[in-house]
Order: sequence, then structure tokens, then C-alpha cells
Amino acid sequence: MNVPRRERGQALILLAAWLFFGGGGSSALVAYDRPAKEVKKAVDHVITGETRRDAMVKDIDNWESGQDKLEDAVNKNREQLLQIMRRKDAQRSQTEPLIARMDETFREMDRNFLDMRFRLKEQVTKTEWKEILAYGRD
Amino acid sequence: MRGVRRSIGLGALLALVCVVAALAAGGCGKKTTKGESIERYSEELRERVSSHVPDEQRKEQMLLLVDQLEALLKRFNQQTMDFVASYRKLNADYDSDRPAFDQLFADYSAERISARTEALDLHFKLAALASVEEWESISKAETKLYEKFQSSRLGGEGK
Repeated sequence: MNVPRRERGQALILLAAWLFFGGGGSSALVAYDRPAKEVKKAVDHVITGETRRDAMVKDIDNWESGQDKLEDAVNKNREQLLQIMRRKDAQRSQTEPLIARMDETFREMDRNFLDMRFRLKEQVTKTEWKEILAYGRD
Repeated sequence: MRGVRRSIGLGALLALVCVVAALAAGGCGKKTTKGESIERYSEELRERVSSHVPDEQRKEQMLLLVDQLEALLKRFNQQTMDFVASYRKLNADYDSDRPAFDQLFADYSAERISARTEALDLHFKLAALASVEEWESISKAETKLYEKFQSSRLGGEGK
């Protein structure tokens, strides 16, 4: 996410609002630490062995695909939640089942994110890990 | 947001949350709004409440709720920035173990849930203060803003 430093900070303020209903820790990191696209670029640049490199990129792709499916589920729950909240006569208790489902999905997304992070790390050396994190960051 | 195909109305506070989030997600395509601060959107919400609620006493109470939401957003923003910074530090250490990450994510999740609970409290308080007509008016106005949210997707820029 190439956003000037000053705007980045302000945009994060706005992201915080989104995270109430739209995502957990992994969502914040994808948006404000490093999106998958950049991780794949870094892997492609740092890892010289084709087989290992391709396996890592494929792993990231698979993770992205899984997160997309979970995000679809979150979207459907959030849509229902917002429909309830639009009504003046809505009761707090009506939102709770939806929120519980969304939170469970966020937890799964976070677990998947960390699983992927550790799988990647296990395939690289300490030096490579450092280079991957440094790639694209001045 | 991918998968959301039609406009969904919001209560005023929730609409503020979603509109500013949409801008943050970058899906609305208006780069000029991306860096605008939460204060601007809070002020827009204040103006809407002011224009749709004639009763001075209730208006004052509702504006106070908007102030509280703004403070809540700022606090959660700081918590999110702290989370991202902590993750970067932990992630940079090749030898960091999984439990440390799990704890970091769990702590942030607890903060998010707490903030969301407060946001919902404010939402329902606002709805309770508004008359049916006022609520309808505010929701319609906010729905227009919310429409910008439809095609955005968090993290989509990374794809």
C-alpha cells in the first residue's frame, strides 16, 4: 500500500473504524503492514531456488484464496448485521449471533495468516527472512 | 466490498464507521479523500444530526454521542497502530515463537471487540434518542455515503 507517511497515519484512523465490523488482526496487517502481492515479490526476489520459490509463492496464493472465501462469509454476515442496525426498533440481541459468527471467522483468518507466516519462515534461512522483510522498504 | 451488491442502510453512527472505512480501504477510487481525517466525517455526521433533529435537548445528547464515537475511533486507531508496530517487531525476529504471535493477536482481538461493543452501544443509544422520522432521514442520508463502500475491499490493493 503505497501511501505517503502522513496520509498513511490518517488512513489508519479510518481503517480502525472498518475493523469494528470488517476484519481482525490479519486484515489490518494485510492492509497496513504488507499485502500478499508484496510478499510474493519479495520471495521472488530473495529466493533463488526455483522449486522452493515456486512452492512459497503457491503457498501464499493458496492462503489468499482461502482468505477470500472467509471474507465472503464475513461480508454476508456483515450485510445482515447492517440491515438489522438500520432499523430503529432493532434489538441488541439480534446482532449478537451475527457478530459471534464474524468473530469466529476473524479468528480463523488470523490463524490462517499465522500458519502461513510460519510455513514461509520454516522454508527460509535467517538471512533470507531478513532480506524478505527488508525488500521494498527503504 | 466484494460480495455486497446492493445498498444497505445504516444508522448514523454505523454509517460513519463504514463510510470512513470505505475510504480507508481505497475502494471508492477517490484518492483525495483517502488522507482525510476522522474529524471531517465526524463533523459531517454532526451536521446531519443538527439538521434532522429539531429538539435541542435530544440534539445535544446525540451530538455528544458523536463526540464519543470520534474519541472511540481515535483510541482504537492508536490500538491498531500499536498492534501493527508490535507485529512488525515480532515478525522481524526469526526466532519468535508461535505463542507470542497468538498472544499478540488475541490481545488485539480483545481490544477490537471492546471497541466494537462501545460503538454498538453508541449506535443503539442514538437510535433510541431519534424519532422514527429523524432516524429514517438520517439513515437515508447516510446510505448515500455508504454506497461508496460497496465496491471496496480491505486489502484489495495488495492483489
